[in-house]
Amino acid sequence: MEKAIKAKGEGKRGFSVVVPYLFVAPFMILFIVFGLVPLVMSVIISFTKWDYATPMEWYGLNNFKLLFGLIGSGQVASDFWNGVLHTLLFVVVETPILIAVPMLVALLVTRCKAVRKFSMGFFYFPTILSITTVCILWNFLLDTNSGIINHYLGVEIPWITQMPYAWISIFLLSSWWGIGGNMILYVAGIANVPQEILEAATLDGAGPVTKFFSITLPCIRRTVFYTLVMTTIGSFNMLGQAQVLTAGGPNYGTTTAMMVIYNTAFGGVNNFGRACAMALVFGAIMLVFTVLSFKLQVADDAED
Amino acid sequence: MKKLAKVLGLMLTGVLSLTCLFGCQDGSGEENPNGFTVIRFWNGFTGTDGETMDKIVERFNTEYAEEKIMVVADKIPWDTLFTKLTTTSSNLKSAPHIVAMSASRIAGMNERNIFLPMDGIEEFLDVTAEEYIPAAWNGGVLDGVRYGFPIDVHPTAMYYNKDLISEDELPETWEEFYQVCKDKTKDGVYGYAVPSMYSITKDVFLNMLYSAGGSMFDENYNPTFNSATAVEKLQYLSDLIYGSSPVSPENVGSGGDFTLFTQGKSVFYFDGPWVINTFGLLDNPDSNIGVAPCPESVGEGQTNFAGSHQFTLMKNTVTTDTIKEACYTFMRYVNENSIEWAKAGQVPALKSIHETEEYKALEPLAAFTEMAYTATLGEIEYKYWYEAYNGMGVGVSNALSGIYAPQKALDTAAADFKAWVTDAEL
Amino acid sequence: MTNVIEKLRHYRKNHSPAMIATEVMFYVLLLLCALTVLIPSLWAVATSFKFETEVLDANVTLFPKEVTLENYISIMGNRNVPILRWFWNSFKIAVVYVVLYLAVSSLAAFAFSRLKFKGREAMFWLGMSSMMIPGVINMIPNYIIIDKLGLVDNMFSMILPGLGGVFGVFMLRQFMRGLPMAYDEAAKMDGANEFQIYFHIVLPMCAPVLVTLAIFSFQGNWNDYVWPLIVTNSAETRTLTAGLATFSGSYAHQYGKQMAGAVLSALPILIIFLLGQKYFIKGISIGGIKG
Repeated sequence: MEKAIKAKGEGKRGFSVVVPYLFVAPFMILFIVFGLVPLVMSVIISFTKWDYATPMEWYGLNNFKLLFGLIGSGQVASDFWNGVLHTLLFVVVETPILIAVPMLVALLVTRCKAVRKFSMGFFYFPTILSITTVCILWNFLLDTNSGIINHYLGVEIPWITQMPYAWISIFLLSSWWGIGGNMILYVAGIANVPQEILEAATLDGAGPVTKFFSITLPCIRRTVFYTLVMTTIGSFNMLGQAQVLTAGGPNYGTTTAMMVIYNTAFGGVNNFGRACAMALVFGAIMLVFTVLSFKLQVADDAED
Repeated sequence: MKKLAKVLGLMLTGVLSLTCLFGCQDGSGEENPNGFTVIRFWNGFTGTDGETMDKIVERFNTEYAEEKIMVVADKIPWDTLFTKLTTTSSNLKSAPHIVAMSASRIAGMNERNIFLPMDGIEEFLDVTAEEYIPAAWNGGVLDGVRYGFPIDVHPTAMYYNKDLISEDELPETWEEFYQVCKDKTKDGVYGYAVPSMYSITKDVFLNMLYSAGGSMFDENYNPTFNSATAVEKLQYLSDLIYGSSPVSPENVGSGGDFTLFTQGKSVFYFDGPWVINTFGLLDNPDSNIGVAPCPESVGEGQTNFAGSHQFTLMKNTVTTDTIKEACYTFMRYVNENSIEWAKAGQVPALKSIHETEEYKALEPLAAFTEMAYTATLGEIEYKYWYEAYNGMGVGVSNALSGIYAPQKALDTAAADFKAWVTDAEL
Repeated sequence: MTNVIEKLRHYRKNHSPAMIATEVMFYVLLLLCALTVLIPSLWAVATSFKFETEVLDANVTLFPKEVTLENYISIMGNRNVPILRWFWNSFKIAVVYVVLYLAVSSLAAFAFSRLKFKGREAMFWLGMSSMMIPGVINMIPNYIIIDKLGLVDNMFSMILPGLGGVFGVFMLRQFMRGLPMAYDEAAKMDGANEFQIYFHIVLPMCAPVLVTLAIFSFQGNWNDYVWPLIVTNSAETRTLTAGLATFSGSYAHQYGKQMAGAVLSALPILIIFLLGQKYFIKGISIGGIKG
């Protein structure tokens, strides 16, 4: 940084070549130390059998073979893919909810100008609670026999102990928790849509639905892309809800990939090698999804 | 906007310089007072028990200042504690010397070769097996080598609502238990709300299993928690919910049993001794909540399933005899002063404590103490015991949620566990 | 008062009954949505002011029959819960983290968006692709690195790893790319160097995005609890969220106290959000993810 300032007026061609690197250096160093090196370490660990305390054993491709059921009893494979499947279910259901519902709420909030700021605070509140807190709260609200939700609805729905309610509870809780964040992004995006165009469209007789799809949505498409990418990544990483609210049950029915990985690494037996292998395979699956959504955005940017 | 940028810039420089300040403040690391042997003691006692342990540690530090021993206790939630144990064992600067843990985790953790065998502890402290509750004393021994030194025993006992049941109506057998529950189940009150999600029910189930002479493993560590006896016991629990005259609502979640019991909607509630503080039983002798031993768990020839907290020593940090002896001294001190520990809702492992008037005054603990003397910790010397216990818990849960019949639930859990072991041993 | 009536009268004059009806309908709809979201939050807050006996009372009411500060006092008075210490830890860690994060990210984003250099795209996409790696993979290696750097139980263990995060770079680069290069060129003509352009021209224009990013990263850092638990050993160095996690076990079945803890930990962020809301919205609306 300081060097960049000193360079003022020197005008040396050689130095100015270095300047950009000085700008990225702090980030790149931190990224390499805490992002890249750990990744490389993970890859190495995934070829070993290791619990940190005892010496590392070279294990070749065995961790990966286990994951695909090529060796062993198939239990590891079935646990892992069971988790992956549940994560995909969560991503496929929750991501659209967290894109669409906040959008509707944002439209509503924008529409009701008088209370806009006020109501945004309300919707944002759940987002700032930590997931543990959220789960403790909802566990209490959703209790079959004494929870207030069943109390007020006058029913005895087993929200947490039975399928498919356990998933419904997780979706409910995750939506409640996540609406605020995306909503605020949309409100901001919508506020930026040129009013003249909207008014012109109204004069042309366009209805609210047409206006939304042909004007508002295209105008805020980058926001939508952005939330899509971030929400997808977030959903893939879902852990807290399954761990604290349902403990992965009933009958492992809500165990997610992250939970399997976490338990493999930090459960009773610390199998870091296997956990790293799982994380890498799972990371590859995530990569496909995220690259796809990035591709969408890149293609869109190219049109500009 | 320019102004904002300036403010931000100012903040940036300001806090950057503050950072340095903080950094200098925090980077000082652990102080090592002159000539003191500093013992780092990790535990997961985050509740009332943790406050009590802190007090005991504090008193120890005052009393042993002349001997130049100082104990620093750090509380870390159990889950994180085990995670950290495996990753910190090599770091001498922050690794602990003594770690308190459940006896059931010792065998598994010992696979990582992190414990120091407690050679000569009996001679050094001049203690014998007779002075301790057998289950606790034996719980720390693996293959004849002592890795854990006992702190306490925590059985699962039967809490009851005195407004709904009188003391002489209390059941002595599980058969009676069901009869009593059936009689009491009316007008929105249940006999016992059986929680179906991963919870205390698996301990109640194990209680019944061991009482009936069953076990989780045979001598070769093949799972036997799906034996005929086990299935019969789980069927019994399942019938409390789904039988012809149920005494429990369906789908009681974790915490639901507690809520219903507190609301006076169920007669019985099963849990460990620490709950006496949640109910405030020690402060309130007139409480409408009483505690009794589980049916068929105490007396001649009976047994019940319990857990036990133990001290363990870390091999990497306890490197000299001075440190080791300081640790031993502390462990003994905690034992001898565990009347405080009892008040936190635990049954001390040292028998002589139970004989004191002060302890006898802690009436709600009597049921737990009685159970502790006949308790078994199960086959916890098996390194995968903890995994089996959790897997079995899912089986119990599946039966009580009506997902599988008891036989299938336990068979599946046993088969899953065997497969898991196959993969773990690869 | 008369002013309001005047306004309403004016409003009615300019709007047909049908329009007013639609308007009212929207407000009612918003109210319903808000209530759905609000009730659980309100429940949490209300519970924190109830006596434990009332929390478990079969006769459920939203508002406490008898308001008590007992839960808050009990938490504050617990020797195991040095809550003010945790507050201060969380605060200083989050502030230092946010400032460093903004500095590091904006410097990099500036280079990635406005400077030309060899390997620019490669570096950027290398960074971006790491966004897709599940965090749990890096947890163990990161712990090993922190351990080797001797930072266990040090506040920087909760600051440094997060600084390698690419989210801020991504967001700022998106925004900076949208700023006309003409500014830079003009400044260059006046003899400004790259750092001056960054600091005096581009950074001020990014202010709203920076505020947004500050809120996001503050919140992320504040709410993180698994990592702080892993890298801290002693109660003194713990952050609020991690510290509260250590005590939640001790308050099993005591919902009032658990909720009081939750409210205490959420309060600072809520205040920051409310204070920064103006910039926040502005930041997003003209920010890196604008339409």
